[in-house]
Amino acid sequence: MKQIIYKAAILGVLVFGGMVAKDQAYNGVPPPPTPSVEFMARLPFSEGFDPPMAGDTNPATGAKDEDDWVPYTSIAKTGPYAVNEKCKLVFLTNEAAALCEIVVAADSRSLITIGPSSDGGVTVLPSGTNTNITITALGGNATIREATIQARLKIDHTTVAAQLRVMLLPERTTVQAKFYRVCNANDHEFVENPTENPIADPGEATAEADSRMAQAVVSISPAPPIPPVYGDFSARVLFFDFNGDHTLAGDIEYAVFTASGLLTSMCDVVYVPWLAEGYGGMVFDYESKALFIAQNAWTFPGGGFSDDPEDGNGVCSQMERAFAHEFGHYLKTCSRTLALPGPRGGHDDFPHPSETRALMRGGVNSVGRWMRHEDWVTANLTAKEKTQ
Amino acid sequence: MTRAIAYMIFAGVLTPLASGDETLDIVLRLSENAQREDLSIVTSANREEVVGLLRDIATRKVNKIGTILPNYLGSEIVLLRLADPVTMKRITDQFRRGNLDKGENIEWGAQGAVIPYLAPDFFLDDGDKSTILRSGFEGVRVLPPSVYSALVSVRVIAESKQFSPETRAWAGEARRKHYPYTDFRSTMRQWWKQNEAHFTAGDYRAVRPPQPEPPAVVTAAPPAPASTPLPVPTATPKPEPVPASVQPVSNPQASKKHAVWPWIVGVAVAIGIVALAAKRRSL
Repeated sequence: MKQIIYKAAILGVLVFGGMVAKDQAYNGVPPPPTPSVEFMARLPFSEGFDPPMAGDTNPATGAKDEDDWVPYTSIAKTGPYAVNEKCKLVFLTNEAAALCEIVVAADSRSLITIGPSSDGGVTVLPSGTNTNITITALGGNATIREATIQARLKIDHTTVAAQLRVMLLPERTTVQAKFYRVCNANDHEFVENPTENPIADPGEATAEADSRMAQAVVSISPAPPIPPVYGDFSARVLFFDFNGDHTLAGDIEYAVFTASGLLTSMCDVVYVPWLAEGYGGMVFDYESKALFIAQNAWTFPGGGFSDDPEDGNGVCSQMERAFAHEFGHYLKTCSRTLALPGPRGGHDDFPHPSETRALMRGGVNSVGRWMRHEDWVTANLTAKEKTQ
Repeated sequence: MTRAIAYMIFAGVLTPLASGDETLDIVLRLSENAQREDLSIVTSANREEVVGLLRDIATRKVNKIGTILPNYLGSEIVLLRLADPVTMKRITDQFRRGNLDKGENIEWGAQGAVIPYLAPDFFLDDGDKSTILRSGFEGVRVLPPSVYSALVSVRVIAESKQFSPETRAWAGEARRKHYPYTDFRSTMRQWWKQNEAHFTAGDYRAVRPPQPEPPAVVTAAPPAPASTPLPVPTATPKPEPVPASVQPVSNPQASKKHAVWPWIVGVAVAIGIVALAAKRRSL
């Protein structure tokens, strides 16, 4: 009886004993009661970490997901992304840390190991109020799995004070993107634009998308032959007459691209001088399944930048990030609002960690890096089917 | 043993009670290679259980099986390949309600049996222009539903080995050259009327490309002008949209109005004569 009371007292201290000095505020929404032991992202906020957030409900299910208030992290089952160094366990005090151990749950020991460990990757002893953990995947087949890491009381090795879900995704599926530039059919001249370098290098565009999608264990790269930097797309030119206005507008003009039979790769990106009919910068076209991007909007290297606080001013060109966002649409995220036609369809305007912005947020200036864990799965599964 | 007994379902988490469950193994194998896995592992003996579990996964009723996060997208594609009527109806309904990404899922299924679910859309009179679903910096352009459903249908046929090479070749061409939309829609309506019976019978091999209609008995009207040809995609200048030619139009309503005027004038003259006569008498 004494032991039970003692354990309850320790757990009470751990879970309700105070507020952890928060390094993750939540998008203007008051944070939930915070336990004094909690898995968090290492700072600065790392992609591939999805914390529980107050006010975050899934409109489809009425809840965040089946595991409300459990943080998630992602890892590839094999390959270079099979090691995750994004997470830490945070305690209020050193004394609280001394009472706990970090362990891989029994049903997950064939899936992952954690470190630094002295028992083969099952247990990590906290080193203080902040304990970084390294998660390593142990391989496996194409099925997505979910492992669990627990902070438990040492006294009984059973009582759980905090949990972290680890989503194990199959090794990176690479989407090959073909980039095209349109040349005037009459004089075979490219249409010049006011911006100095109107065409972004496909390598840089895909590199940004590739970095963002690493959390979903999806890869994108330019399909060969890769056009050289800034504009010489001589290997990938479509000839087309824009009727003098250099603007892609109207069904007949889109139909020409579809009819050409050239846009047949798994991911086609076409730079055109201007877009019309209400599209400022880019349009995804269900008819040709291609992404059309207006050169005039691609103000690289200059112009707009993302306001993601994690980026810092000037770190990422607006259009590079916008392309990553469009690639997210290509992968059918945000899955929460995918079924909604219109402006909200596919956009993630739900709560997000304040240190970053959602990649799939609506409004190009607000696009950040972060994806929620449901979308890691959606992006991963879609990429797999797209590349079949 | 039924699946209800074999599993404990709680809050979307499905816990296998016995290891090495055969139904689960089949479902995982199918859904992980959804577009290509040999479907012969689904037999009359296991179909009910396999399809039941696939449906639960595809609709997210089951999100987790032990530590496994089952492949809901792959499950949906497999169900389409298996021509599961519940799934075909659900997905085409979602597609029709605006979940446009479902169109590609339908294509991945490459199942001819789904086309009767899309065919009613061919008969919508929904215009000849695409719609901007989202304007601003990033846009989404979608075709009229009749055209998009028809386009998804020909894409299914082009990818499906259920159909003859001739029909697949026609569909392969149609999925690229489907403009002007009015012509494409008209062709698809005609094609559906000619082939609906084959779909009803499940005889996809008998489905043929659209055939010319037999000549009408009375041919009073002159032949319609050819549609604006789609330009050659690489070098040919874009053809100007042909403006509607200005023709004198005989409006039947207007003709009727004109025919009334002589009577009105006649009556007015008669009234005038009577009025004059009455005036003289009064004088």
